[in-house]
Amino acid sequence: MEQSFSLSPVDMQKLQTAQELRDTNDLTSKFGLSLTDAQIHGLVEKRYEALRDTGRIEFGQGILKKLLFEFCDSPYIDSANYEEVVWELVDSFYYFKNESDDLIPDDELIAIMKDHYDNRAHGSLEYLNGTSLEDLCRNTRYGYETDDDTDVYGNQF
Amino acid sequence: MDYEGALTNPAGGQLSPGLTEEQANRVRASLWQLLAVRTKLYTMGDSSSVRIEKAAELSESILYTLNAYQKSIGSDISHINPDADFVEMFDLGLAELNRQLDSGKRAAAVLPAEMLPIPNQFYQSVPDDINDFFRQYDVYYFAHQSAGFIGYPLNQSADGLQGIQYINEYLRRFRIENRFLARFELDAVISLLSAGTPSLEYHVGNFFEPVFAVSIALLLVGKTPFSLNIIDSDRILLNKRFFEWSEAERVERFIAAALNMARLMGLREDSDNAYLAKAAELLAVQIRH
Repeated sequence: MEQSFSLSPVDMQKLQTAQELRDTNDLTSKFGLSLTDAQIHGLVEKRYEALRDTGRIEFGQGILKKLLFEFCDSPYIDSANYEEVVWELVDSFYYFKNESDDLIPDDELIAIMKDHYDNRAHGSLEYLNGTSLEDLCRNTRYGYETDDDTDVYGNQF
Repeated sequence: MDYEGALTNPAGGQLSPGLTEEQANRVRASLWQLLAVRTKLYTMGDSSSVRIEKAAELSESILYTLNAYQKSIGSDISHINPDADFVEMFDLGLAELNRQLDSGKRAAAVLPAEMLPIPNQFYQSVPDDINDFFRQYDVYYFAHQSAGFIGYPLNQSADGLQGIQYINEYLRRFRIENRFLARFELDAVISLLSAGTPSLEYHVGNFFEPVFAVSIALLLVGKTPFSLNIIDSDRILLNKRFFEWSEAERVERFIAAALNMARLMGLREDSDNAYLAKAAELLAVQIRH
């Protein structure tokens, strides 16, 4: 019986993403962080779930690898909360891509998320999502500087 | 939109039933890769993801562009070659669309000189509306979209078309209608149009249609079409003849009258004749109903 080896584009992407995440362990392990195969599988599915929930579609490498590379040296992430934080960051990333009307490039948003997570939210995902990034996206939508934390009258938030 | 469907079937099911499942999968994979490339270009590499609605629009534009190439070689999108280089086909399609765009801009450039001084804001705004289209039209990423809005309706609408094909066809038909109207004394045209509306300036309607209808009617009762002056006895005679004819005969006589009128007017282009013949057919059917 003839067998088809053709994969759907989604399946191909998932395989590629899983391999990339395995490769990131080489760097992140230097900071005491690594993902098991089960966690990688969960993260790959999480990515698609987040994309589906936010009504987005992603091609190519995606942002998972960039997220892991950027956050692996955060003082607020350790082996105990690594997976949980990454899951939240994936959700936040796609959510705020929408909230910013896609006006903030991926690399810039990830860098801003890292900066706010470490230096303003001090490891609090609630603060990061509920305050810092909401302000950021509002500023972006209205054409202000992304790191402007004052209102239209110049008052600090 | 179905999320999974958008991911696995970016062609939207427009493929020929003659393709095997394996061939269809290869086409879908090629389209998917092309969509990935175009999306990356659209975002200038800044974003690896886009909203599904945006991806759907980009996908439709890709299909529109590939179809432009297919049509240029006498085929269509449903018969696309699964083994062809899709990037090359897309580039050729884009070149074809740019040719059509240049052709449309050339036609639009001569339009102001062909406009009649009919005092109606919708008619007079057509050149500006068309220029707005060309200003807003994005042939690279949203080639299928008909940017802008043209307020003046044609006798034979081009609404079934999209993108540059829509605007070029609108232009072609609009110019045919203008050539026809220009064969009459302006005062007679304005007088006829004014009789049918309380305010010609703000009237929303096609001007070719009433002028064509009256001129055809005059021909059918054996009078010159150019006066645009139809009287009661003409109407009575036409009504009598109209209902003596079978439906097929009615359409035939209307078309013959239209072609005779084109000859009298010195309209020699096949496209003009075809347009007038179609207008006559539509009129004959419309009167029946």
